[in-house]
Amino acid sequence: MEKNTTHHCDQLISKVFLALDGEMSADEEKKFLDEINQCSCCLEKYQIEKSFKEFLSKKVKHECCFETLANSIKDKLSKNAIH
Amino acid sequence: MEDEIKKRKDKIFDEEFFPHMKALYNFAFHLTYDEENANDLVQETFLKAYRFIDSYQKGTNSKAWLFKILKNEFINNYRKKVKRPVNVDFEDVVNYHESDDASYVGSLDLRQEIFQNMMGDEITIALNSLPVDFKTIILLCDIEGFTYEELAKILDIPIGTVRSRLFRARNMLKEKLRDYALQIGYKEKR
Repeated sequence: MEKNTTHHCDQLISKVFLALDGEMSADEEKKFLDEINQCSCCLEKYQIEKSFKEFLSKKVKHECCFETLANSIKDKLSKNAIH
Repeated sequence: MEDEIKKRKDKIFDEEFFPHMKALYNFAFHLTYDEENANDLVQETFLKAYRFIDSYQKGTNSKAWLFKILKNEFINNYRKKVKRPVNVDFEDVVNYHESDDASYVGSLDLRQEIFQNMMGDEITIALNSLPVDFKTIILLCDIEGFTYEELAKILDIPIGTVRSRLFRARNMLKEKLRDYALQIGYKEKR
């Protein structure tokens, strides 16, 4: 626990993923961010996890010929359609 | 009458289902790690969606509904077809206890400068080396942005298990990426 703060780092860090995954209400998130900004140790942890999440969403992509795929699906649907 | 039903179905497909095709393909590719299988899996998903469209309520969460179909299709029909075996470390299995009261503190840090220098291929390889349940939850949460409640429905698991599985999956992925980083010359900080 860092000096001059009243929180327990473990408790705050346990909420990091809830915040990053959008599982907090607006009020909860504001309170969480206010608190985490007061502790450099917790803030660093939060920023690392935030960057990692952003990094994953940017890098994990695989493109294909979507037009061909869409046409193939539509073709199959028209042949196999169960009305 | 039949024409009207078909028109209604086509409208749902065009407006609510097809916009998710790219995301479904990305998910399918990372599950199968094969373009052809991913294409087949997405096609099967749409065919199943068409067949069971009566159980879909227009205007509800079409993305979660389609992802659930794809996930089930993969588990039932594609998992055994995937040629590349999933590497599961014994230690990973031993440590994989899913419980609602798992601790969420002490997760693994991976320094920002390490992962920011990595390419997509390295991440894909690391992700693909995870047990399929772990890979799936990372793809659905971190890439597709589903909420815990949606994840619980798609994966048929309680929300507590969503949290604990996600926590372990992320740590396992970071461990793989850190191993890779060490191999290419980064030094351990801790």
